Amino acid sequence: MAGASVARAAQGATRAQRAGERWAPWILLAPTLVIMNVVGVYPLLHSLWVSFTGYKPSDPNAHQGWVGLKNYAEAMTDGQFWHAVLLTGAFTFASVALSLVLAVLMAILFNRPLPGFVLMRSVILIPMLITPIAVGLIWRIMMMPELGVLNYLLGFVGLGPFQWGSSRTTALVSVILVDVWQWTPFMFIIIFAGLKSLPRSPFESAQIDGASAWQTFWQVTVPMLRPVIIIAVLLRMIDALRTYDTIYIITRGGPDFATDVISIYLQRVNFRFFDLGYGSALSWITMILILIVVLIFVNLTGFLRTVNEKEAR
Amino acid sequence: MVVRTASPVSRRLFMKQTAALSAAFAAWKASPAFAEGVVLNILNSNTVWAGALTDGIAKEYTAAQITGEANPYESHYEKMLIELSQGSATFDLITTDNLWIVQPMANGWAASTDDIRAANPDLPEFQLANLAPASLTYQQYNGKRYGLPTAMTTPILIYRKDLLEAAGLSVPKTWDEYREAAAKLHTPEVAGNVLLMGGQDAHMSGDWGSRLMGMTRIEPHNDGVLDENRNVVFNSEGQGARAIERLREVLPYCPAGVEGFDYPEGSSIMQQGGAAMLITWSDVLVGVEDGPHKGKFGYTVAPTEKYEQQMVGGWSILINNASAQKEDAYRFLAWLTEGRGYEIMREAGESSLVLQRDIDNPEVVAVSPTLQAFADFKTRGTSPISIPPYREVNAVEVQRVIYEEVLAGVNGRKEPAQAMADAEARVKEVLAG
Repeated sequence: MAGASVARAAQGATRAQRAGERWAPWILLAPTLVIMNVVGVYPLLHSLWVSFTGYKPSDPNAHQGWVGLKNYAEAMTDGQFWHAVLLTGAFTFASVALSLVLAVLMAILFNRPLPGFVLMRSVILIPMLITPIAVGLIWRIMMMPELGVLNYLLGFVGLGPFQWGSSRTTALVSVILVDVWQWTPFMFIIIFAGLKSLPRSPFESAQIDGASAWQTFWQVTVPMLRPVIIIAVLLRMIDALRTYDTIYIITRGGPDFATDVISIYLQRVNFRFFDLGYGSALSWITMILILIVVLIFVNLTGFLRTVNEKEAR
Repeated sequence: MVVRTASPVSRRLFMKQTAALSAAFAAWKASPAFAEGVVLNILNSNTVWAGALTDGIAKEYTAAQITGEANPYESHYEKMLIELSQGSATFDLITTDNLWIVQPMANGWAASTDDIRAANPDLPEFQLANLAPASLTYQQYNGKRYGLPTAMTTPILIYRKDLLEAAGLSVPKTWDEYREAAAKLHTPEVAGNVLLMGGQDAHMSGDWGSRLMGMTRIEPHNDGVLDENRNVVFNSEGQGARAIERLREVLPYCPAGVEGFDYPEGSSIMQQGGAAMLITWSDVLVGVEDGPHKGKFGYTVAPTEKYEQQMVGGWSILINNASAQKEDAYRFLAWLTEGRGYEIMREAGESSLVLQRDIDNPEVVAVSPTLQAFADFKTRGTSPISIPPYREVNAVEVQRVIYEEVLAGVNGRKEPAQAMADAEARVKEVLAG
């Protein structure tokens, strides 16, 4: 009798334990899931819904309801939007490529045990710690054609004066340089960490085989760093595609739309014109475009294959 | 050794103290100051007059406590639109650039002060005769008043008296004279004039708009951009394209970097002596007289072409229709019209004045030299045009469209006539929604 009740109790405990095991992850995840849905998924789906409407709080007398694909069709012929898309592509490509080259060079340089390098490694991280608004303000003042310190300093070596952000021809280059200045340290720190974690033996083998520094770099360092570089480029690319604050402060998208990147244009449609239906459609198209770019990049670089291989190991 | 003593607050003492506190609280609540305790919250700008509203004026006005949230120009419109479109009662009073003023009035977000007084005839009447007539037009919509002006401005010509004198030139009154002066004054060190092509509002209102106004006859309810029936008229006689040509004529006499210039850069280059002439709004000239060329500047009405007429702009204050304290807000505005409030704005350093007796006072003009333009209205026979340009609820969008096309014309991406034709077509699209 007693034995049976003990068995029943044990069985009950096992059942409760199983139920606990089954539900525990969900209970533990619940707060995160709730927050993610409230602040992430719901606004995203709501903006998708809004993109099919004429919602425009600035003009309550206008038709605010369902308009179907009208906003998306309008976006297809919106010259300003596609100008912004191309400009964003050019900005992202130039900024990421320059940052990558500089970051790799700096990582190799700082990988050598030279005096003062530990301090310098810390110092070069400072730009990425500054808030982008402050970065924009600092560079806007430094790049003033008449009063800025950049033209003053370049004058000593016989260069300039340049118009920087004040001219249609130099504005995009100027904001790219600022972006590179601020975010190269971010790529540097990732690549530098990757470089530090590489095993010594392949380098020693290359040395024994008589490989030159150049051969070692291209045939040993770069292939081994490849996954790290891909991650750094991916993160940096996503960041550059949505750059807003620095450009807004330096040029506000001008002069004459020379720096009117997608985020600046989206801000104007959504929060100057308050054309939220159309603005949401533009935002969704932008998101899809970014997704396509990222997928192409991931496929071309074999990033997922590398990750899967690592996981399999 | 720790000696435990009885608590110094016995139950009886605690009860007594609680009763005393309750009585004090009740007495405080019943006091006249608290009973009246009206707080009027203003969605405010960050200008001098706006600062006076929540400082000097708040101290002088005793019928309500005046509080406010100062916003920079860039975010003021966004804040206003979000608050009002969602029916928020956070702010009882709203300050607005006259550029955007139709939006709250037409959308029913602002309460008509006429309606408020009609509902309660005991409320005092506004003493509008104290205020400059040109400043009062903006707050009228469909025959009703919706608020009061807080600042009145106009595009002015600021020029270097010493440079004009040295070149043997008189102050330009027409665009031909202006172009000739710009060409003659232009040197590698000092530009003949400045355009503000990098600032949407600066370029539209200060550069293009000021030229446009002199090109054709503006009818009483035609603001130079739209007529009273919402027809696009800014290029009906080719005057919009002509205004662009005028800008192109003086572009070679601008300083380096002019493509990125906005209001601050314009003031700054004049202050530093880098340019001889600038046309801009009277309220955005900051610090020009604080630089090395103090006292060398002259101020007058902007040049005209065929007609003596000029845009007048500024800021206004409206009552939020969602406010639960509309009558108290009305009383505050009625008090302002008595004049003391506007005097406090002037005493705080504001130079874009609304109070007529201040504008007419030579001593005040001596302190605020930009007011000279308003004095010159009389001597030149200039008619002020004070109807919101782009008088639509989506004025910001209309202004942007015209800006983009004007810029294309000035920068040579399009011929002026083509730029204006495109602007007309695009504005019609925007107006059609």
